Amino acid sequence: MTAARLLTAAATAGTGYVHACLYIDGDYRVIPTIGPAFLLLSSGAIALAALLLAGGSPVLRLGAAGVAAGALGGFILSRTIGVAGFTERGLQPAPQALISLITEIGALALLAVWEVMLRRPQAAVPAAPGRLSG
Amino acid sequence: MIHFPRGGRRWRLAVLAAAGAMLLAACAGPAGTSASATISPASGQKLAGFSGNTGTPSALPTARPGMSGMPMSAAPSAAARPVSADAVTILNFAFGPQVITVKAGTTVHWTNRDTEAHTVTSNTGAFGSPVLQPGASYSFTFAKPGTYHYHCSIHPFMTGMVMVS
Amino acid sequence: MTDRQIVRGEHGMTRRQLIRHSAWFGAAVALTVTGGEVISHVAGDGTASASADTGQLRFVQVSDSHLGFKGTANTDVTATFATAINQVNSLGYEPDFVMHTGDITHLSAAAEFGQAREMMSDLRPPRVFTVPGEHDAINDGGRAYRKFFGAQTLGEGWYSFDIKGVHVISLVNTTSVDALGHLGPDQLDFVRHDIAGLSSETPVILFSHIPLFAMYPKWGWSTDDAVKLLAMFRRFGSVTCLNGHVHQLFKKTEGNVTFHSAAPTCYPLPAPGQAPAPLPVTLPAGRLTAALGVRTVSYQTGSKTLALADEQLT
Repeated sequence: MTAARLLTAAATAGTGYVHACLYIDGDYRVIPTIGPAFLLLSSGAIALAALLLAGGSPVLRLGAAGVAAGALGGFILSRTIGVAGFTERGLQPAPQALISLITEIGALALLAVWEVMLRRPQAAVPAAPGRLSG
Repeated sequence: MIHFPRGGRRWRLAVLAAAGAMLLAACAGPAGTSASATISPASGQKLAGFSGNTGTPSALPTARPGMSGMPMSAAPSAAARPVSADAVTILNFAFGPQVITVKAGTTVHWTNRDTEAHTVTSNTGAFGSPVLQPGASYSFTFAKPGTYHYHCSIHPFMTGMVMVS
Repeated sequence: MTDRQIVRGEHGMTRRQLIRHSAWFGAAVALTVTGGEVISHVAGDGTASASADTGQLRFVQVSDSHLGFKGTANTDVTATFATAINQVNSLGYEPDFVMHTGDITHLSAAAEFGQAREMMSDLRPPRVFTVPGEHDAINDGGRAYRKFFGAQTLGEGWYSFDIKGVHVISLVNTTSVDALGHLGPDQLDFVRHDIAGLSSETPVILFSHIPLFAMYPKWGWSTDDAVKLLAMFRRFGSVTCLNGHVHQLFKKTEGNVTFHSAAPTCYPLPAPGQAPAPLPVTLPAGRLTAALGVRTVSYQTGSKTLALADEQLT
């Protein structure tokens, strides 16, 4: 489970990093609505990734899922009906678009696996008083 | 209590700090090289001239010849300043004016005055020019009202918009 | 730990769990805000125009706006200047700077200087430079000009700077009362010291109002000590002189130096010798804007020449 947590942190950090770079470099920063959305997404993703290193609270898992799903949703929307009038094509900008796709889908997959692992009845380790996972 | 594996809040903070520093260093790379764009007064002088209006960000990405393509259609017109014109010049890897407004039925002319070949390609396939060598032109009549985003298919970071009313 | 009655809230959550969840949520929010500030700050520091990353210098030259002129050759010089400024702002990219090569005003009046300064502050590029024309220095050696545009300049208003590996020198050859343009020994000394440390590979651009070559001395279209100036640049591979004053496009190459005169934003003047005197030419209705224009110049690092594009006013 620690592995799931750390890998999720890595994937979320990846999404945050890619979007942060695109924002900082300027091309996305100047687009209305999309620019600020990128800022919010990247800072949220990095914050969640950092906290996921420290623990796996349901709040964090939900947040990470939200970030990944939101980023993925924005990606799909921008290439179909557009987001606030903004549209893009294919896997441009390369390689950032592909990387963010991988990190977002990866994060969602990891979170799903993690969720399944959490629901599985715990192997014979008795919960010590005062110790709760998440 | 929450269980911190490998013990210690301090370790967590250190990881966070390191991650933050790495992120900034990596991403600030491109920003760092922007020093070459600054105007450096010659030695013994201070910078003459005065500031232009760069406080107003243009919503449209500026052209980057040589960078791997980042095609994006022009952003919502609120931030760009549409110009009422029916001629667009292709120069310095950019369409100028980048955003134009015309009435339905107007024919818009693009002229490539740059030193490289470009195209005028609609993002939706509504129109498209052949490869325009330097000096070549292309025209298209916009019969239906709407907003038409276009780009250069050779240099996809070059974008423009025609708003037809 | 003693058994305690577990009080569960509406969603089956204990109060302890609620506190814990809130703590994580709060931490996430706080970190997000911090992260947002940091990213914005980093982004803000790097707001040089995107052309920075490519090493391609792109700038604009405008010239001879003659604000305050009244006559048939142009009944509204303010409007044509505003059109030129709009044209610069609609280029589709952000030039690295704008240079106005002089005769900003027609009568060196404070109101005209003030209006010019205000209008040019609307130019999109991050920095706007000027050199004075003789119309900017009427009867005062350029004092009024320097009040409005001379901040941080030397002597009569000259200065130099470097941008993207190109060395730019702005010269003043219009403040003396001679019939021809005149640089003067102080300015020549300045240039000599200014370029002393430059490698001969450095591309150099010289801006001035009056041409630095003998375009038509009879009309004052020449600078009497330009020969001394250009001799200093013999060792350089790429020297380009951009000037105004003659209100028409003109290009000439002499050895390693190329001269380009710019179109005005006000009214044209006759071609050399085509009229008795260099007086404003009144064109037939509708023909004026074709004689006016702005110039975009681009320079790719590594190449030896500038690419000039002279655009008519629309």
